[in-house]
Amino acid sequence: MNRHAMERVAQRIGLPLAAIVVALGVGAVLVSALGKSPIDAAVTVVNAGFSCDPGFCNLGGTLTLAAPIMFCALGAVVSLRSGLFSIGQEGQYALGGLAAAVVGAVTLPAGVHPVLCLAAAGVVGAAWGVIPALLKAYLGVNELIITIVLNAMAGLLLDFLVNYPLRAEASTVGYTRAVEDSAKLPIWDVSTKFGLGFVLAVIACVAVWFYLSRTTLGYEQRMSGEASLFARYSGMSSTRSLLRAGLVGGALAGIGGGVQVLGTNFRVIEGFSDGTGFTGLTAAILGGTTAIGAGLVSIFYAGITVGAVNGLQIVLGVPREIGSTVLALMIVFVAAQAPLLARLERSVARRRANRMIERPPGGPSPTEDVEKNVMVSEK
Amino acid sequence: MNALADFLNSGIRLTTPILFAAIASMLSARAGVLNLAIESKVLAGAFVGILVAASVDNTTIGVAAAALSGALIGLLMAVADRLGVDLVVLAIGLNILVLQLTVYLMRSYLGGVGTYSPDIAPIPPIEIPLLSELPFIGPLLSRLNWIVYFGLVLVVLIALYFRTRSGRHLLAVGEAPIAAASAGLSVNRTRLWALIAAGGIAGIGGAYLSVGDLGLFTRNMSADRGWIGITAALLALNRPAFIIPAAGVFGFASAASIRLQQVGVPANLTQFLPQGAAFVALVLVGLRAASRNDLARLWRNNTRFKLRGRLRRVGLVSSVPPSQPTERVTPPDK
Repeated sequence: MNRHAMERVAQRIGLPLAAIVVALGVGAVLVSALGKSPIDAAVTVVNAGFSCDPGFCNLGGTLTLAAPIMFCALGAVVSLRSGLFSIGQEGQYALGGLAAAVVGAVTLPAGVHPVLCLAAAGVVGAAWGVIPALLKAYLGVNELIITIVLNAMAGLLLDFLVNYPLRAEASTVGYTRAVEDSAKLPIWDVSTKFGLGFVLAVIACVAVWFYLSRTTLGYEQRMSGEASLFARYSGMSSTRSLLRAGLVGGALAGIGGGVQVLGTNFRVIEGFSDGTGFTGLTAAILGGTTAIGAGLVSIFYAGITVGAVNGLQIVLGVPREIGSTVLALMIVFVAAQAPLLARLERSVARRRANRMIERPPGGPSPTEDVEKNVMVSEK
Repeated sequence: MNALADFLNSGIRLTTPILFAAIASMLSARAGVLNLAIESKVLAGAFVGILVAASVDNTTIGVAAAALSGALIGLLMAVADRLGVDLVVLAIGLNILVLQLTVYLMRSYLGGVGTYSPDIAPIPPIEIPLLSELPFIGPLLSRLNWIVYFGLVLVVLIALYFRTRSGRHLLAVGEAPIAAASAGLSVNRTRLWALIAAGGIAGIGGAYLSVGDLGLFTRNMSADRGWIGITAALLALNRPAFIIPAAGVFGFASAASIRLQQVGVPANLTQFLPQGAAFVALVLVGLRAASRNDLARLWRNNTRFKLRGRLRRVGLVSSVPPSQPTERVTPPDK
């Protein structure tokens, strides 16, 4: 790795870190405005979100919460990397969860039951996710706009189904029947419901990384997203890439809903579509739209959320919304740092080019080097 | 009869915040910005509006402050746009930020867990001297304050504005920014003002919720009205002429869902209909654009190139200049 590449890596990692630090700084100001010590608050969040002692493992709760977020984030990663700017993970997550709850309530043999439930969740999520891809590919409809409508439709559809056809019993809040015991995912820690769900999420993370980075289909998808002209010129079908992105992305978010139902909730309650899909989307963005990054950021998100709820609010009396506030600030700052990064890279390239022009005669031909450098840094 | 008037009245009141959000979305969209942060502006307007109104004990100043807070978010977006920030990501962040921050501040400083209800009366309704006493019109127009009428006037104003010189510039910037820039218009400045105005309008919509209607603020008071406004603007194809009916479809569907629930029609289903309508509208717009594109391609492929080649081959027009307009050439029989 030469110096140039190292500089770029430092910028790529350094600026998101800077965004996180600034967001935490603003959070510290908000906490100290309440007369509480920000250091105490940070320690409390870390303790409540990430610590694990034999009696009660907080980290288990964090990882349980992280699993559906990770799936939604992976769905977002697949979509975004393929040039499908879909924000429809929320709707796919909701309907996927509902599908898992429906199949989970049917009596089936123990071994295959959760598999079938997750498959149903994936199929429903994929069906919902391919709609924007189809409309974009064949009608040129803006996928961002259509997914807003699709999210609202999914939320309303879910609330309707949960309240009427699938309602378990008369009560003030509608919910479906609980899934059969045979459909539940194995749980290893009863107090935090930590179980197979998180392991599945990690496997999905690695699988998505492998798919996008190490397979031909994934390569085609990335190229269609990042260099669509190149992809078309090399004979890759952008339509097929888009459809695949919609299907795979939707399936992942749908399975996320399934994992939440089979591993934590065991039924779908009205208002199941509560923003997990959006959280996943933001985690994907903060994670640099890479599978591994999105997975790590999802865990980080879940930890801050759990830490803010169990730690700050209960121990220190700071409203738990501070956690999500800081997370939202991170998104805002990360959004802001992308063009700053581009500017920084441009100015570095310019300075380097100037240095080369000023180099005393006798060295290699200055203009040639300048051109080469500019071309490299424009990438 | 009175029940119908009541229904229409509540429909109008439910439409108003959606209408403001839809106007804001339309204005941004016509300036060429996909503004997904409307939700945050509505919510910020609702929060700041009631806070200021309660502290100075004047609802009008509260509404003005709400507009200002929305405009501030608009300004932030415009600055970010200029820097080249991805506005979609920024908007998603802003929506979550305002939602969480308002609750955080409310719980920290205003003492409420889910609701902040200061000792303030909502904006009084406008009593129109003679109409208010009529049997049907009276209940229909009761409980409507000045913000409701202002929203309707605003649509007319914007429709007129799109016909002025500056409005045309805004449309040009939205349709073809590069062409507008080369004609000497400042794309950035136009978008700046469009985003600020859209923010202010959305903020007033939020103030209608808190200061205008209920006189209190609750957690997530905007409750997706910003998103619904965006959808309503889409349903109206971003045209001022359709914006009131489009927002009305959503508002009246809400009003109907409350009443139809009493006779056993699920509320979610009633609210689902306008969303479905918006979906169909989007697909139809896409279909129309796609078919137009195809027709244009069909025309080009079948006239300009092939026909000229064919004519040249038979030696009829050996010296057609390349710039000869081909529109007059009849397309070949199909």
